[in-house]
Amino acid sequence: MNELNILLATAADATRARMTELLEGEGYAVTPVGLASDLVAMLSERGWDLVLASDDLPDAGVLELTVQVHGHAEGLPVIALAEHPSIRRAVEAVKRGAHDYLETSLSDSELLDAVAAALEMKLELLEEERRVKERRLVSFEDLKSLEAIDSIMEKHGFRESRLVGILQDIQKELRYLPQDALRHVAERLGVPLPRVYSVATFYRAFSLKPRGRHIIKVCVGTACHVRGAPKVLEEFERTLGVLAGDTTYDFEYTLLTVNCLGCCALGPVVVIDDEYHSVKPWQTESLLARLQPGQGAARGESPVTTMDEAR
Amino acid sequence: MRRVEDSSDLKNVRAEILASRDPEAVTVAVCCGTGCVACGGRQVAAAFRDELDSRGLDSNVRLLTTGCHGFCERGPLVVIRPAGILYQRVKPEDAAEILDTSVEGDGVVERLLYVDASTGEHIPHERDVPFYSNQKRLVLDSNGIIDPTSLEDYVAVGGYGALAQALTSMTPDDVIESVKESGLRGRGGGGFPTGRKWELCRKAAGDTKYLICNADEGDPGAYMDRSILEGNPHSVLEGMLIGAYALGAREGYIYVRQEYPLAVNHFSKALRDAEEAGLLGNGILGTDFSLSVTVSRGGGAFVCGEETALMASVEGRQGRPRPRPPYPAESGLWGCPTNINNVETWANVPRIVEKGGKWYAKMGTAKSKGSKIFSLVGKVINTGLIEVPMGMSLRQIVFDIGGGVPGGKTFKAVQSGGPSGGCIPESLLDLPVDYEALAEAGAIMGSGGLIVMDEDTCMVDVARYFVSFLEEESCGKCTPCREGLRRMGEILTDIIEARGKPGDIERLEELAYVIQEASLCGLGTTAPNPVLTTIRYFRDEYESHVIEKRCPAKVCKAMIVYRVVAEKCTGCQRCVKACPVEAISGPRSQPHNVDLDKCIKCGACYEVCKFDAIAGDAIYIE
Repeated sequence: MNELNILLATAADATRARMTELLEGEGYAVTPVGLASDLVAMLSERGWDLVLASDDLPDAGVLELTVQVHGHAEGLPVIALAEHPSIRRAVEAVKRGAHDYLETSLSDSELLDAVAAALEMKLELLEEERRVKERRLVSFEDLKSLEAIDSIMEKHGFRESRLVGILQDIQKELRYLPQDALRHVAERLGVPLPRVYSVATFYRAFSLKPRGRHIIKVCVGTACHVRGAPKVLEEFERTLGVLAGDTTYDFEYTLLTVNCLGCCALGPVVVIDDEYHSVKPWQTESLLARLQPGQGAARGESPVTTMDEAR
Repeated sequence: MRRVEDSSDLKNVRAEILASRDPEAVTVAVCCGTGCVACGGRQVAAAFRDELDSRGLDSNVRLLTTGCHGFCERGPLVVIRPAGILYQRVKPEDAAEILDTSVEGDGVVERLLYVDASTGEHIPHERDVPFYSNQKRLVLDSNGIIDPTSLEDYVAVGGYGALAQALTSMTPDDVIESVKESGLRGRGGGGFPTGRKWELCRKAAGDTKYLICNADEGDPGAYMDRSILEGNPHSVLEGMLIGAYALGAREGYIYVRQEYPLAVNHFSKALRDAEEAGLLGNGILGTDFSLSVTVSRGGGAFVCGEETALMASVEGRQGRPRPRPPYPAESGLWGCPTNINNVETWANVPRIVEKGGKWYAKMGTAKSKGSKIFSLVGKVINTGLIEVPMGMSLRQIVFDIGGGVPGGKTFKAVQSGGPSGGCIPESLLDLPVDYEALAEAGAIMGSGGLIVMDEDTCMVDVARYFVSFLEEESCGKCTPCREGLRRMGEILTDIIEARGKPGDIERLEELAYVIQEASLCGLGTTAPNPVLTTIRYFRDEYESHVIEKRCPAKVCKAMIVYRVVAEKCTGCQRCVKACPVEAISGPRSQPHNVDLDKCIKCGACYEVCKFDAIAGDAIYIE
């Protein structure tokens, strides 16, 4: 494992020597300095893991220094050391972003504990960052999807004027438009990301959020409206526990509305995974039950309501 | 189909196709339009296929899967030709009996015939069914006769003859003159004279010109454009080809709504077939006239039906409108002169060129010529797609063709023109269908959606429905539309939720005026129509909501409670089973109770009750 790098700044020679010896004894790489300006100058020299700064520095207060450190290296933990600590200053230090605020004369074990805790927090942050990145990549199924996107764009001749069509085909392939896909499209077309984003957010057909396994579309066209579509929609919302436009937490169902499917004779119409159903409000539950695993797929089955019943 | 060398060769090709077919042969036409497919049309067609195969009839009998026949209410539809027998609500298991009786025999299956509700008479022939017999079909006439994916079928009924005629014996100016003479006006809603539009584009400066077919049919309840594209895509393409010749355009686009996958498939197939046959692409019919057509799919934005927004979308941008002028005829797609017409308009063109503008202009009223397709939907017995001559009265349409309102309910209004249109009350039903007459009534012709409403429809709720539709679809570019609609929606919601205040109706009228006057595009300037017409014709309903806090149609939830009428309840438990929240209780054979705390007012009990025991009673709220 790589050494962890600690930058130590205090004007008192004795303290500096004591702490350096202690920390090096524990296997940390310590760089001691005596001036705040030295510390700031060293920040960009390498990747640091922790800063220990005392309030005895002649050229800057520890609070100002903390802010300065974060200006250079965001997320780098700073432990402020004070010769005469006060609660007011402790609060102020934490407010300014210090990880901890300790007395300079603290015992060896206290110092080591504090350092270990600060470093652990930093590692946790790094880990979290990595997980977020990974999640994004996993949801995007990285390479396979990238290839698919490239071949889609090739089909459209990498032309900017075909942006709507490109996004439609990507959405068809991935069922939604992941952030990375939008970035990739922008890069390959050589257009700014906001240009792609503006189109992806303008049209109703696009979704920036993953959609469920089953897509339920409730027709809210005028003919269906006067025949009771609002009640059907409400029932689906109630049964699924999501509002129109949302996806259930288990990614099983996405509930959408659509403005007229042009089969008004069947109204109110609900389309589940491309299967048309004429639905009364009280039939929603039995309709959903058919989609459950083990109940047989909805596809290919006859509609819940036959035409005669529907009339 | 083989390649057509030139215009005279088209006649040969047609003769070859006809010679290869037996005119006496029996055809089984199964409607596979979206409406019939939704209720099992494909399964019916498959059953016929299997049955024909197993009987060894597959070479003598032609099974035809066609586009929409129009009579969606009675789907799936099957027509046996040449006899012209119409079977309705056919199930896959009926295929054998139909083949036994009407194909191998010469009888009819009585139980599958259409029954006239007033006389109880069984009507065997399609042409005698009132729904069809009162129509005049110019554009839809081939829809049930041809296989939309077969170019041969289209050529067999005379397809591309008008194109050949235009290319050989007419100059572009002749074509424009003929279209002007016909009096054809835009069928998408605006009603701008088509010939005039073409002339402007033809005369506009610039070598590169575009033409666009607007198939972004966004009005809810209107599906004629989809049915034309699904049922007869070549007629639209032929219209576009003739238009391109007249305008001098070499590149065309069709912008299709994303909810119409079948239309995209059929039209794309038509493009491929036409190109292979030498009817599209370079050197069409052996001349130096060329056209390429690209399919552009919409992204589900209503505003993209507006021409400037549509062009922005074709260019791959956000579909937002821009101020006009300049009109597309001067500066359209990529700044070039562009002509946009909708599907139905293009589909009318071949007929006009073939038979002449004068012939077309004989039909219709003084300023509205020809025929118009309407989708008759909502609370009407015969839901479906109809084509009637301009000038027919709404009463004839709703009652003679549509069969009136189902369930013995009373007719209240018919909504015309989608979210930009208005509601026309019973008193104006004798109004002729005509651009000007409808506009005078506060509605518009629009793309042709006619939504019938009965006594159970609350007009305030309808107004709020359209306002919230438009509020969501407003692109947000101009303030009157974006903010004005939102404020109107708030006032209407207050009225519906029993928080209406005196003066609200007047405030709506005032807002409507501002939105009409100050909005950027057609979406905004027509947006207040549904509110204004409902106020104009149904002010009493608004007043009941505002002053008495009562919803006469028993729709607005905040103003109704469901209770059981003990004297009528037989305790049959139907409503107990139907209630999704278990709010109704009571032992069998005893009057039930509704727990008002649990009741979510879904109306399920009301709909299933066979004894009128559950009454949605209006109540007064302080």
